[in-house]
Amino acid sequence: MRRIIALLTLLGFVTSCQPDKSTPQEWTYNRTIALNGVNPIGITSDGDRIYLSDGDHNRIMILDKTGAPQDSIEGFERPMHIDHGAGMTGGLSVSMSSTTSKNLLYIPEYGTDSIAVLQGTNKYYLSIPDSLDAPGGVSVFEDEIAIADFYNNRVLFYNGEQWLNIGKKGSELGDFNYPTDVQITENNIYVADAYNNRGQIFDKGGNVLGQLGQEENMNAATGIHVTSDEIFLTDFENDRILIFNKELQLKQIIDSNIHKPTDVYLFEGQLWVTNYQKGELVIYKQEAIK
Amino acid sequence: MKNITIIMSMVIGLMTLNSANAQSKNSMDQFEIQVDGLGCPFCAYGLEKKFKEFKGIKKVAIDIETGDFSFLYPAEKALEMQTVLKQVEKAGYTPNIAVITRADGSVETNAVVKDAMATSNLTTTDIYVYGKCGMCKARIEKAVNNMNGVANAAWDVKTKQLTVSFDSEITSLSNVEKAVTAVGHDTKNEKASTATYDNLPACCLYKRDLK
Repeated sequence: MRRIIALLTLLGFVTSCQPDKSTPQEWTYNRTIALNGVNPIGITSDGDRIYLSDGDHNRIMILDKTGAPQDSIEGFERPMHIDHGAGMTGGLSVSMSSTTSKNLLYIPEYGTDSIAVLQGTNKYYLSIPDSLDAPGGVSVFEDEIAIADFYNNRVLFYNGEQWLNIGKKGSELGDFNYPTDVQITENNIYVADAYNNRGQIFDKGGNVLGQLGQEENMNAATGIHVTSDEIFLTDFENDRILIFNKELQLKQIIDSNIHKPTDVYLFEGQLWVTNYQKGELVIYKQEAIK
Repeated sequence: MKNITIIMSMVIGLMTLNSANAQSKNSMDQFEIQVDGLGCPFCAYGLEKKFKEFKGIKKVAIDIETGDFSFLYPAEKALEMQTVLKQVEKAGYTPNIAVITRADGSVETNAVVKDAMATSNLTTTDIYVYGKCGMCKARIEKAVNNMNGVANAAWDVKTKQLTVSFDSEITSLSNVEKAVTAVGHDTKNEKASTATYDNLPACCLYKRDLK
């Protein structure tokens, strides 16, 4: 009986700690991490550590979960929006065994028109059947990979079997004006269409499904991040983060403590924003709307 | 004696090294170009990428905040000012003041020499000019400040107002508007050609009101 009471008490304690999803939530400022001498562009995680691309200094920074620097990996030429995952194995350098291709860090090198793949300390390069011109972002999802090909105004998408070419230069729906970032989800591909000042959504056949941010007077949509409930777009020149629900309705604009943001990442329930110019990470937490 | 030999060897070694450095420095021309509006890393790295097409380029440096862009290039290749300015434009940007310090010490610049202006003739006025960003600002101000008869021009990104001081005996407000539209920016009265507008960098494509 005593044990049952203890278990019930514990259960009650645990459930009381869970956020009530029925209560409307908003993102509020939590804290800022100064990154001395780092100008972060892209951010991702392997679950244990945070990875930042430091484009100005041609390196990848590794931080622990608190944001404290742990290590750096040099030797990348202008690394941009990075991603972490298993990714495709068929297109990788033959020197990498497909049986060990897990926990890979994908790094688009804007200056060398290539996608580097880090497996531990070993560096490989993606073998791509078409030439890139300044890749700005990469995303991996299971055996799929997408690349925002900045100067070619397209997204290259590998669907596990073949490469597809998505988009062309222009301002119509489905066109791009310098895509900088991309994310694959279970059913879709989301793209930061930087100088059309919007995000765009495609299905995995390359058909455009919609756009977001076009009514918000954005100026340079440099980064995009998609979670199960929300879509985050960085508004670089206006120092804002725009947050949409999956129905593409604007939910919230974060404009406090944001200075030239390039990327956003949800890590352990908190939103991490890269403040490129000030060399900072700014962290937001979810709270019930007062 | 042994110590003297070691010291002499070190001195000769240093002299040789200095001589080699001096020769290396003297064989390179130095280029310094002011390119405003490079706020975004995608833009700055893009500029750097386009200049890497010049084989032999060294010490490329870009300060994104100030727009200061510099590099060294072999003097024997005699890279010309116009080629450099065109490459900046090819990358999608507007060069402002550029200075080349040649390996032989001579200096070249693209700064414009203007006629003397009488302070009593100066008129200051504001006009609305369409544009969006820091790069627009650099382009608009460069176009107007380079005009003969203009003492000063400054465009505000937020208000879109161009404040211009000019000698009314040398030029006119109408000429100022023509200079602005010639580089792709509409005013309330004058419209830039579609071709010029379409050639603006992506981030500068403002919404047009004039039909």
